[in-house]
Amino acid sequence: MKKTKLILLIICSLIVSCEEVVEFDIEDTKPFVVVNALPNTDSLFFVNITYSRFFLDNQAFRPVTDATVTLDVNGTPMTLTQRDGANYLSNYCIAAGDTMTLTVNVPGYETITAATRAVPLPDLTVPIAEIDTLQPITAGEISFTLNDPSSIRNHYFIYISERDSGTRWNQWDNKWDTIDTVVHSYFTCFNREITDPCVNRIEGMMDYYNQLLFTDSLIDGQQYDITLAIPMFRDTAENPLLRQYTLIVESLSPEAFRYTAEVTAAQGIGQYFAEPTRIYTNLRGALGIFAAIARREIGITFTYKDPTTPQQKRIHKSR
Amino acid sequence: MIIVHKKNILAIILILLCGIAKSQTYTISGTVTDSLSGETLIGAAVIDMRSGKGALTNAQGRFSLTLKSDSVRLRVTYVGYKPIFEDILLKSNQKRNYLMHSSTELKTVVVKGERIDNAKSSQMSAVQVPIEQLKSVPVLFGEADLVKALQLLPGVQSGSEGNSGFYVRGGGPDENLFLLDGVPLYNVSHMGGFFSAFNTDAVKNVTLYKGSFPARFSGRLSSVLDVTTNNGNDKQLHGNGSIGFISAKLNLEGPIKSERTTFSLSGRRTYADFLLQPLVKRLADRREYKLRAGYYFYDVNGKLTHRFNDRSRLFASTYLGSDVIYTRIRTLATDVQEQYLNFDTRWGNIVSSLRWNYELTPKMFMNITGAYTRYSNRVGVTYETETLATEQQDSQTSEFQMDYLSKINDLSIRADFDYTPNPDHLAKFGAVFTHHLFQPEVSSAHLNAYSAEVMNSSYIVDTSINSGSIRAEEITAYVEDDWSVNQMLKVNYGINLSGFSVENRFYPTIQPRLSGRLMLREGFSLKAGYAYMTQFMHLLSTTSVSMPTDLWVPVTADIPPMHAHQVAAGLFYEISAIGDLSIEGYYKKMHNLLEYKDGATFWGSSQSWEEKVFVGDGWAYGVEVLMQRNFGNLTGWIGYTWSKTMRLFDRPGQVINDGNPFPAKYDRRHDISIVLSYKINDKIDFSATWVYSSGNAATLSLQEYSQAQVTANDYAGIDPEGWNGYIANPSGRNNFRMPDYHRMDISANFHRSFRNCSRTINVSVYNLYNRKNPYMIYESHEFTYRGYNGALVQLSLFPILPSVAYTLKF
Repeated sequence: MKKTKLILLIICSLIVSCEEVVEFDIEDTKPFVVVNALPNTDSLFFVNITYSRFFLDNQAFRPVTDATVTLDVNGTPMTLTQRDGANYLSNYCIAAGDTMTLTVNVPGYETITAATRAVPLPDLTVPIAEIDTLQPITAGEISFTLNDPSSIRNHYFIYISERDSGTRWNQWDNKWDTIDTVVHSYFTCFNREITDPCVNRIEGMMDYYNQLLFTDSLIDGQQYDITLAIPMFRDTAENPLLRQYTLIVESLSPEAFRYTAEVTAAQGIGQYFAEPTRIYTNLRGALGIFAAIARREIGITFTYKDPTTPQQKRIHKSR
Repeated sequence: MIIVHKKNILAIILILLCGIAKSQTYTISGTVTDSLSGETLIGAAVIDMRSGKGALTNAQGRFSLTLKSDSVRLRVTYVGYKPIFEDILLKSNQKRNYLMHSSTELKTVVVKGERIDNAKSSQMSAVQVPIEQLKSVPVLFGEADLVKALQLLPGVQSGSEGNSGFYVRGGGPDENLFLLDGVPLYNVSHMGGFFSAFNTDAVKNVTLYKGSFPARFSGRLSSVLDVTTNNGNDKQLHGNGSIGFISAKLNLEGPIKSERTTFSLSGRRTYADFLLQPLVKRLADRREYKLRAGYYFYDVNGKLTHRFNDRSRLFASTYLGSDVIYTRIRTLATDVQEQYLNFDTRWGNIVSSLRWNYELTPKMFMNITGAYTRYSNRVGVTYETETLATEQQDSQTSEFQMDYLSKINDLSIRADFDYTPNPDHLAKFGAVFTHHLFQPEVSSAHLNAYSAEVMNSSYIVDTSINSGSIRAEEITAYVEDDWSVNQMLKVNYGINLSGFSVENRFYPTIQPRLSGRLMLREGFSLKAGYAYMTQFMHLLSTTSVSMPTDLWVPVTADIPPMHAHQVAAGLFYEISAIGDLSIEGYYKKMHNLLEYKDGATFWGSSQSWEEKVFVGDGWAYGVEVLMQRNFGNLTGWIGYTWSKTMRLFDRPGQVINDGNPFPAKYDRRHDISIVLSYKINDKIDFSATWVYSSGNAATLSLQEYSQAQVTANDYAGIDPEGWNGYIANPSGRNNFRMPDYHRMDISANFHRSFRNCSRTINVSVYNLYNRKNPYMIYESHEFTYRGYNGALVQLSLFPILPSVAYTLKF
């Protein structure tokens, strides 16, 4: 025992935690205005406007409530009204091909402007979903074809989500909130021939991904088949007989593509070893993003007829 | 790209060599060795006092001095040794081998006159520190460390606290050529960089070149560390063993066949894993769970020397070093099932060389060297389950293994010649051919499942990805001449021609080198130099800490070679009773430097390393002041550096920091080091160091802002609280300075001699006044962290650390 104590003492003397709070002599800088608007073809146009915060503050982002927001769509201006603190809403839903300019005026700041264009979503074949119950780990497969339009640079963002519900601690009101949220599923991608340096396969664990982000520079104008396999564990869900997923295919404007690529890269698995970086913004005079997205969501349902004796491969419908 | 014109090269070589040929004279040649050990002495001065002409011994301890006069008076000097004087009547070529007696042997104090003539040499930006002085520098855990002692010289910086990273004049850690007996060593770090790979017991001579590189060196931009190991005592068996705080060392040397064949063998191993094992066992072990974990490193230096005759010697040397981290977890999952999880990380170097040294004529020496060097790192995980047969089921085993491997192998052959036509010229020329084999990233997986339920039913999967090897050939030829134009002016000029062939692409380069010395008066000189360097390989590293995951990669068809122009000028003054003072200024411009793209790291296998990096430029300038004293009882140096190091990545599609210049991570404005050793008497000597440097640059995001939700969910956009996450917004790359670094270390050696041996007890204290120096700084957003809502928290590694080491010499 004495020997152990001695060794412990030596180790403690070596690895004594020498942590201390550093006096920081940089003044709290003036906050930036942050404008976030990712309008998509599925919902009404809205803009979220907040102030940035000093990095040592633990306060929520302060909403900008006195901004004047104007959206110009194909030459027709409209003014957005402020709702819900930081949100400014319109009654307009964007359409593919729209050219938009956003102008935001916040007292004490220069006028903020940005422009984007909604890219049309390419044709998508109806996906085929099947489930392979013969492998030790069951895999659900989704196959579909992208019909990439020619002579236009397209940027794709593909992911699979599963709706889930749960609770989350609300630190501002000191209570648990019940939420209905979306969990992004891991999948393997069987189309490794996408070797374009622009491809940013957002990595999950091991060889699995949870998002695909790529340009069409190598598949321009072609039909491109993609198969995604989702690992599934029958005994983990509350209802093992039914699993519901949503396949989401997005066509991003170039600004949305760059913003998404940089955000996901900065938050990747190796972020702790990487230098902090500035994320792209297309806003003049502010931080954030104003970029259009065309989106299509496709529900996929996998069911097991008899979860206790999975015997054969079964093909299921998609909608 | 530089186009090589063969006619131009021939013309340059002829011009270089034609100035060397002079009238017929007589040559005195031979070796200078230590009288006790028979070890050859490198850099000993052999000077004719009448004509003032002289020569220095080369890396094999040989000299050649061609003189006109009939009667010469030779003086042979070397630091720490009693000078030898000899009168020679010169009527034919003479062979002279000098045995020098060290001051220790004579028990006398070495005084002025036996010092390195820094002011006289044409070489600038080079530092030679006696190995005994380097050994006496107090360091971490009392473990003498060559690289960390050299970090205390002006112009050289360490990456972070306790690290043996080497940053010379604004260069990165991969821009240093570490030569062990002339063979490159790729990784010189042990234990994450807290110790270097060089065992000081095995080292005979160290020279660091920070600029004005002689033409014989190429392949790196920023520095050359030329380390020569001991040949071995040719008189009798000697050795020393020591036990320190974390490691034990043993060094043996002696003759195998008296005075003809000698050996030198040094080994070192840490034993913290042995010491910690009982503790790990006591803390972790339970019936169903057993843990074994540890870390150790070891290195072995061996050298065999055979002297065929006075003109011919053969050297065989090898270095083997490795770091190992291991974890073994054994879990009893059920009464019949055991699970084993093994995690192993191993990295290290192997360097072997065979050198034949031959005196072709009294004026010309030849070295033929064949060498092999390898650096590899491997991260392996193995998971095994073993299920015994029961009444319900038969036995089953499964094994899953994953490996990540990175390797570089070099095979090289080189020929070097020293030609001394007369005392005014020392020409060196030669050629090198190297075959490189890079395997930057190899990942493999192996699955083997066996079940006895179905007789011999097994399931085996083997896969390997990203295993592409890159082969490359490098060829180099050089010629240089150290020319004493007259008593005042001495010039070292040369040219290095290198080419690198990779992926059907050939990168040729012409690298001119020039340095000169103008003797303003005795002991006071002005020097200036220029060097153009090219580097054909890179080390991809994301942090300033040396990690086994750092990747050595070659230039490719898409990644061009790095190259740098460096000019330097300085004043050198010998202050007779005090020491040597030098003041040097330099400016270095670097091109094709690599940096990871924003957000990219070595993690992730979906992109190759080439896709993760950008190419850019950099520059560095500074002033270095060094006051060095190598003689007398008080030795050491005081160094000061003022420097600035910047990077610029603004090429199309390869932009970092919005294309604006930013300070390099290891940019430090001020750097001071004081290293002093004082010998009270033969029994006691003291050493102390004090270092101060401006804080390292780091990137800090002063503002944060809400992130737009890019994926579809109910919270998209409506997120003032930042539930979607937030984005840190740095105002620029390396926009923040960490707190200044300073530290004092002291040590004392207590020597005692016995009849057949002597012992030394070293007592040292690292970080004497317990300064909490920054190792890293991170942002804490813990609500409860010592009462702060948000804070910058500094992590310091080493508090005050006393240590004791015992050395027995026989």
